[in-house]
Amino acid sequence: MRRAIVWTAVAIVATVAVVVYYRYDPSTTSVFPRCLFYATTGYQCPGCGSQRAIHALLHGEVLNALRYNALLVLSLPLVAVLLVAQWLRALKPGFYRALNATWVAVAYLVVTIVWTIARNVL
Amino acid sequence: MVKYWINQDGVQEGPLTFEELKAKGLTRDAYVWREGLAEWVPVSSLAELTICLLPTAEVSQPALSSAPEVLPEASEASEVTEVAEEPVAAAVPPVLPPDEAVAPAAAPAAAPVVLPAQQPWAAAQQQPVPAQPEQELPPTNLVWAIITTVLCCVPCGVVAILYASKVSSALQSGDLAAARSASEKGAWWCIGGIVAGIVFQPLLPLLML
Repeated sequence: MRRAIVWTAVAIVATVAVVVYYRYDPSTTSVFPRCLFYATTGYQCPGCGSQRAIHALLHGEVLNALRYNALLVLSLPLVAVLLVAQWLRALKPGFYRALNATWVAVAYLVVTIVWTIARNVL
Repeated sequence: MVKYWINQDGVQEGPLTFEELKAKGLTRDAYVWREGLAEWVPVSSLAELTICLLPTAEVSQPALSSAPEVLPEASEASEVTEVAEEPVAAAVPPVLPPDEAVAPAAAPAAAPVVLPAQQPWAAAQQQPVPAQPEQELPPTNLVWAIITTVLCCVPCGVVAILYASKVSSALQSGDLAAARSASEKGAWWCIGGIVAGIVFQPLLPLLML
């Protein structure tokens, strides 16, 4: 039951997001949320550029998307695989287990931190 | 693909895939083992197999009464000495004596080889009992943690990723309670981060006016 609610909510939010981010360009439309971290510190957080990157991706501009937020673009395949693993967990518990191992989470965290420092310094 | 071993009406079969089980149909008193389980369990205790159950038409006899028929058959197999105590007590059988499950562990991958089909419960003694950390992994919420980090709220997402990593490592060290608690906390950080991202962020431009 709880599962069904979560997946339905995810599906609805994802659909709405795809439509909105396809039709409106976050870099020229002012209603899109801004990053609090960037507004206060002037540094880009790991999520900065995600909205523009999604807009670019939905229009097939992969290179632009990578420029806006490479972490997001590179996370999407990982997220997709993780979602499939979660979805099929009852049938393939080993797959879920392997993907959700400690080192995966730690590696992702390290990549995020290193990349965030790099995008602000370079 | 998960493989199942089943024992119903005194006949052991396996490895079987989920689809094969579904096609075959299970009676309510069948016992099942698959990787990740410490011992044989009644089929009714595995939610994923509910749809494999045959309709209970004439199988209405209580599950307990059929279990004893299974145990004596084990003694017909060559392992008489090991199982000798069991059949005597067959009138009121414990489901599966826990001591059978405490048998020394072998690698789960070896399961298909070690199970001689004609010795159902004696085989359970050599049954690869999965090592302790093979317990059910609580949801790590790693996906949601990553989504929270990249899309919604970085601080919450980072905390959630840390908790996600803790779920697996706590389970590895055999601390199921800690794994569960980390799983739960991680979930709340994800929910908090996503809510903050969806509700709070759009308000920011207004706050800055």
